[in-house]
Amino acid sequence: MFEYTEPLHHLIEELKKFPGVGAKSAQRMAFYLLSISMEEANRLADAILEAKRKIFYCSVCNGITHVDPCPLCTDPHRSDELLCIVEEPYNVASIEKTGIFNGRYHVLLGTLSPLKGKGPEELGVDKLLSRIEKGKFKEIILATNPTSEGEATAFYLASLLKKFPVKITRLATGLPVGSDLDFADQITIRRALEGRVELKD
Amino acid sequence: MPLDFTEAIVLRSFPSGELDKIVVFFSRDKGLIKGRAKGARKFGNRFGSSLEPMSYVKVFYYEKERQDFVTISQCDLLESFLDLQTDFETSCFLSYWAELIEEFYPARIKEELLFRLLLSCLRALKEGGNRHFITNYFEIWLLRLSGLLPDTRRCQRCHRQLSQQVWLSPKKDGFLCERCSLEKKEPLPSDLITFINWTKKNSPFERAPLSPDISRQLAPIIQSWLIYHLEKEPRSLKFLKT
Ligand SMILES: [Zn+2]
Ligand SMILES: [Zn+2]
Repeated sequence: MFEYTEPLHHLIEELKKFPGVGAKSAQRMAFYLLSISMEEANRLADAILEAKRKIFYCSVCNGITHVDPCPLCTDPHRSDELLCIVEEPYNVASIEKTGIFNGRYHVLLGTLSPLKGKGPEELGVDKLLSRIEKGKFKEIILATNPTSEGEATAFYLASLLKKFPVKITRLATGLPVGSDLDFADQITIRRALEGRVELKD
Repeated sequence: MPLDFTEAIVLRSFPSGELDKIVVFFSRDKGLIKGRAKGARKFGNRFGSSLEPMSYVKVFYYEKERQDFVTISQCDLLESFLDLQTDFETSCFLSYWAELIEEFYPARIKEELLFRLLLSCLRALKEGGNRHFITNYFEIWLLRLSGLLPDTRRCQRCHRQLSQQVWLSPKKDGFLCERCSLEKKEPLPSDLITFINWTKKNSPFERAPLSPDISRQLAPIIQSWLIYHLEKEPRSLKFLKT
């Protein structure tokens, strides 16, 4: 069987570890990397190393940051009464882009997932609870994904948060913008009905 | 590349690449099928909630030669069990069922009885059945369908009729009478034998013949058989113990 020269084989093996990258894509990426200049290759390598050296998880919210605590946690213009709990650091970016949320975040770095061996302990629930205990939050928004794992996580957290005098909310689920009612399944339509809002003028 | 379809239950799904999901189905007439749902991670995609674990669906797919995954072109939701999974403990039990099926039946082979078992257990749970009891029921039938459940009528070694007092054979594949049981251990709980016999004639929708407490006591015994035959402990099992 034909085999690539060892350094190339090594590069392909490393690229295959990327999420969603299979043997074919890894091969394509490796050949692309071989085609770029030494200068470009150095820039890429440096960018990876610099990101790895300088970026870490915020000790307060688990978001990614280069200063601890992160700017979102220390920004005096943000409200300390609102907390939004999300699954992944990139979810923070998605919500920030809307510009309508002005509270604090907490990143779970995953969801409860028995098949992945992730239970309450692995999810760092204790850290979250002690943060809420010490904080002055009035509303906690559970912004996990509307998937079975995301929902199980939200309901689990809600059961733990009941003991705090806070309002607990969940992001509305329902019809995606630009979709057609005909193509929505019964779960989606039911959720949309449950989460309906009054039209006011 | 002909289009094929089957009724199936989603065992699990996970993201693949930026937009796709890989979905593991247990189908009524073809056993385990793994497929790629293109664009299933996109907002407002056509798959809706149909690819969530334990969704009972009709799935349409194409198959290309020499590929691990079929390509899912459409997936219609027939019945959803998503609401059950808002409870973390119940979702742990369902993950455990899914894991058992995938471990015991990893191939594309028709296992219709197992499919019907899974669907009725899901429905029984949805109708308010006790998750410990239904899980025992599921486990016993999984062992029975796999030919791994010991015969409760006769001693495996001497073939004498068994009383309510039985011992498990060293290979965990048969029951022994008192005379044949070499190890001087405690016999198995008589509730277990009663329960095994009960499952043969009753559906999971029937009133449980066991209290939830007894159900919980029997669970580790039944699970030790499953672990013995699997030669490993299912990953989701540790979450059932807490
Ligand atoms: Zn932070
Ligand atoms: Zn005997």
